Amino acid sequence: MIKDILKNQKIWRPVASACLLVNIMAIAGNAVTQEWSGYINKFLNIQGTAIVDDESENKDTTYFKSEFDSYTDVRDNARSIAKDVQAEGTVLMTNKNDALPLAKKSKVTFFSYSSVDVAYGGTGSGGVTASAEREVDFSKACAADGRLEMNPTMDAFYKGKLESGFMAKDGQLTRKLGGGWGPNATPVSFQAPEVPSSEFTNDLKESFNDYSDAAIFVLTRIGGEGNDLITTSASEDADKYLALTEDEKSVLQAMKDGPFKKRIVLVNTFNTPELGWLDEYNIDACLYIGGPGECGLDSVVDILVGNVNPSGRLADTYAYDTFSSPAMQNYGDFTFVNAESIANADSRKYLMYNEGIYVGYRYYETRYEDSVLGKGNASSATGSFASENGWDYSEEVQFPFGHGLSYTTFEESITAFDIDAKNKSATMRVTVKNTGDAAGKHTVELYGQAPYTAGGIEKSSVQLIGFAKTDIIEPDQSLEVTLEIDLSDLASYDYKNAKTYVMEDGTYYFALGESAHDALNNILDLKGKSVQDGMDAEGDASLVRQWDKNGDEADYSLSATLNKITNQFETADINHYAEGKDIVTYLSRNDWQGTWPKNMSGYSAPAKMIADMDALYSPINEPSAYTPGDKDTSSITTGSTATKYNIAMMMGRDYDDENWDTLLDQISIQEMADFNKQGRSAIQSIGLPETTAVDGPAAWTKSHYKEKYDDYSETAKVTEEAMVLYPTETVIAGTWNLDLTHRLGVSFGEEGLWGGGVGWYGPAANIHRTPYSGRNFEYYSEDGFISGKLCESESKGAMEKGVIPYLKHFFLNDQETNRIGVCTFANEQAIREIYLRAFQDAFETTGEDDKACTGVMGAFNRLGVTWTGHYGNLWKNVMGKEWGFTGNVTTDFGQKPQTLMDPLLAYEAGTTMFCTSGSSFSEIVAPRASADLKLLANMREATHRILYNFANSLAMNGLSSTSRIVDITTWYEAALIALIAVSAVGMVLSIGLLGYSAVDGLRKKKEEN
Amino acid sequence: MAFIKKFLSTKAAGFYVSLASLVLGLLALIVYVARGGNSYSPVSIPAVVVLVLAIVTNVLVLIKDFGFLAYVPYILYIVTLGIWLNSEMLYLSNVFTGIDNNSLDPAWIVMVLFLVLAIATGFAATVMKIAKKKKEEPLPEEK
Repeated sequence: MIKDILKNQKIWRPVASACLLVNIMAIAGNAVTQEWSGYINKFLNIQGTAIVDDESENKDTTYFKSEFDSYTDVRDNARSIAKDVQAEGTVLMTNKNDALPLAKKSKVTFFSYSSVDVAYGGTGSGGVTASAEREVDFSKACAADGRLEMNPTMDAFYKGKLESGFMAKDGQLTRKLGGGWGPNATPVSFQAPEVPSSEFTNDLKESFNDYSDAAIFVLTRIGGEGNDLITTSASEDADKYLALTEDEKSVLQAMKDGPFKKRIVLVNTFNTPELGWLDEYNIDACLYIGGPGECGLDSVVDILVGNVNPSGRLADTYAYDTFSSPAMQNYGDFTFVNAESIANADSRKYLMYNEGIYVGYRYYETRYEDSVLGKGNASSATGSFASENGWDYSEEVQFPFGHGLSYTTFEESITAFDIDAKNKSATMRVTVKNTGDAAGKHTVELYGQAPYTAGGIEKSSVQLIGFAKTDIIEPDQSLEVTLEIDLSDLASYDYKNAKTYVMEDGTYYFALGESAHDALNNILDLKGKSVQDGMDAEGDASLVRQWDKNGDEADYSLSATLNKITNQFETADINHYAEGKDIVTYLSRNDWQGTWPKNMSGYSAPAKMIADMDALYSPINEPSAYTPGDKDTSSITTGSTATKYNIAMMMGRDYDDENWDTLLDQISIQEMADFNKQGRSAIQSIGLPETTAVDGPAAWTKSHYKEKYDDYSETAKVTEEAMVLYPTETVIAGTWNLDLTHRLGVSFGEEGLWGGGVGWYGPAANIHRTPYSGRNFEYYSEDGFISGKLCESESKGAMEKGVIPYLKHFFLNDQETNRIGVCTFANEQAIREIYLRAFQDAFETTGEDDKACTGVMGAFNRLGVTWTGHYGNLWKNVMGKEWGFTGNVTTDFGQKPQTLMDPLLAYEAGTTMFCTSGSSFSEIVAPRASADLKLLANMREATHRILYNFANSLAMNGLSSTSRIVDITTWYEAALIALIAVSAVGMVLSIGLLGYSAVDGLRKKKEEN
Repeated sequence: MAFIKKFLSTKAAGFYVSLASLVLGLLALIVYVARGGNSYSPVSIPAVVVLVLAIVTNVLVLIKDFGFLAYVPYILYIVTLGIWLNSEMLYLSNVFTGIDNNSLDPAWIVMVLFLVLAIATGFAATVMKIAKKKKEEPLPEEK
């Protein structure tokens, strides 16, 4: 019987086949999981390496320490800070007749489907869903301490809609998207869902009577990674996504017609919607709440009932028409007409920043001043979108940059102003008095104006050069604020003639104001202008100081590192490719009408541009722009076993310390290639454990708290508790509070210690160039100055706990459309004064006390025709020489090594690692490095850079000079190995039995014959 | 014609299953080459080479039943799938993280389908017999 089974081919044939299949698949699976183990381990909350230290007893190897004893304390602290951010970042935009605050326990009716499906944040890699238990929605927020009584009938009505999949699209039931992104997670499919008032039954309408203290309408628009907002209709009946839909209008009309004493609008979006309808629907108060994160609505309700006095200010301009900015004239999808002549298909898209420096308020306010002064054809109809007769500021702008109201009133006065021209600095002391009857914080805003000469260097009428948030000031009390001004912030970049920063002679103005517009009116008042001259309000010259500069006392062409600043981005200017006449005339205040940006559709790439593109591209070999080095690489030692240096020995050592060479000698080429591809893998030869880096900027996405942050053992446990989802950066920007932003950064740092990771892909500081960028929720503002200050304070806070923040997406990645490879053109003045400035404070260092950020993530786009990761002038000259930056340089999601992110050129330019790139990059570089001295030297330098930053980060926690790293066989690796072994044994046995059966058959046949 | 009829008359059901495996393997090759690679994952030469070998050995097995060697094309189809999927990792990670809204293109899906079916039919072919058992010659009647 057994013999028969053993000889039965019908059994062993399928068994052998199945074992073969399982065996080969398990081997392939093993290869893939080894490649992506860092991500898998992070996802599964397990470790791939362990630290072993036989001599570690009595050693304290926790170099970056937490201030908390348990992860719940870290979480609670993070939530408390998140609430503070929302409390200070919420902006009271209008408040007619002191409609707010509401009396506590007021009976209110929430309107709009969005009241039960709030956009807590954006979508994409930065999108996070909070745990259901921790998420605070409007019901929870109102019910807490009985602050507001919410109309339960309406709440149930909208919740019923939510549960029935009212807005379902592609299987997506709500806006709570978590990490999802792509077409299904964008406004393209979400549209702007709203339940029309025609569905309000009589029962619903009757419920209004009992909850009529206030009607609260939640206006939501979502945005996310991968797609910009649509500029066509948000639904079939609206003309653009940021305008109201007919269904929303019907609900607002129902509110207007209802029995409500007050009508309030909450703006729950990260972009700047059109709000010109507020008066039409008798809206009394409007609050910008942005993306509130998991618990921000608690603070919003605190503001509604007056527990918190709002002190937020807008960090973007709200135009009546969202198409009205000059940047919007060149936004979206542009393909070279002669795209077929461009060999690299990934180089065929372009985008031109023809507005120059006139982005956001710089445009609206400058044009306003010129219209008052009657200069530059400012009042012409060109560029008018909402004005009836020629361009009129008050018809174009609804809420200016810096605007924000309070439940009290404040009075500012300048108590001292000193200029120290030699040291490029000035100081203004401002006394702030609370003249109202409620305690509150106040934001002091300081703007500067540089002298403009017609036809000369472009200058904005006002630009933010300082700000401060006070502590709470009680009624009738005063407080003094000192603003330190860096005059370099008022210098202009002359990319045409001096090719550096200049501070031209003339009159400079330093003006306080409740907004950029208010400050400009104050300057105009000092210039003798009034409402009779076309101003929309009288100014107050007492809030302005002027400085007549005559002669150079300081050199503005030198950077903080005392290196010469000069043009570095000439190839990113489209006029670089001009043959004779300029291709583009940038917007100039000398002639608003004549230089209003033309839409650049239909542009054909010139031959020189195509030649530049071709030099950077080769689908098979290295691009011609790359010249390999000497084939003899023996001058660089790799894989040496002569020494046993350990990465922990390098903690605190200088970048140029000679011991780095010895340490680097120990690393093999393959280790370098594997390490550089993501900057995460362990390097056994120097005792570096596996590390992680995680998406931000609103959370440590997909991350959970460790039970003990300083347990470095193999058995260290990770809890199921997800890390906190903070408010979006648009709310952070609304705080105008650097201390709070710093605390926020420290909180991110704490979470990094407690399981987040070493690298954090955040904060992000691209510019809100237009209201329609899908990723504006990840960025602070339309202004480079405030973005730069907030970004610096937040990243420094995180660095205090040893986290490496990778500031992103560096740079000119200000829209999502075609972001991967789009050729982006801008002049160097705009680049320097706006787009680089948003990152400069964080990256620039003047010495040990001013520690520069230790990481940066490059962007997908091209600067001109050169991908950011290949732009050597950016990394070596600006970041390296001008700013003294020595941090890690990672790419965004590593991809397209043949057509975009060629690693050979990237190393040469200064890129140090290729984020999430898998094996394709190491497969390209590792085989070449042994025969290309230049490449090997670049890889070694990249490794040096990463290790230097790791050696000064929390990656060193748990390590000592005697520690070593051992691989841990994870459960899934063990399972795969077991599967390989079992299937191999099964295969061998079954094939053996098949052979036995065949031989037996032959034997029988022979016997029969 | 008579030759083909005679040839087919000696073949068992496994032959037709193996033939289906061959056709699917061929279709997979055509689709893969016609589709070409993309900027994430170029065409994998090793995958093409192994797939061609699988097809050639599949033809040989069909012409002459090599017994256990029916496993060879089956193994090679599996190896092709492994090599190919590994070469497509960047494309797959790009699609599944949705970084730029790419989705799996139809040719890619068809290629996977053909290869998986080639493996499945190859599996079946290894279980079934390719050729019928030769009927034993009747002994001549004794006169």
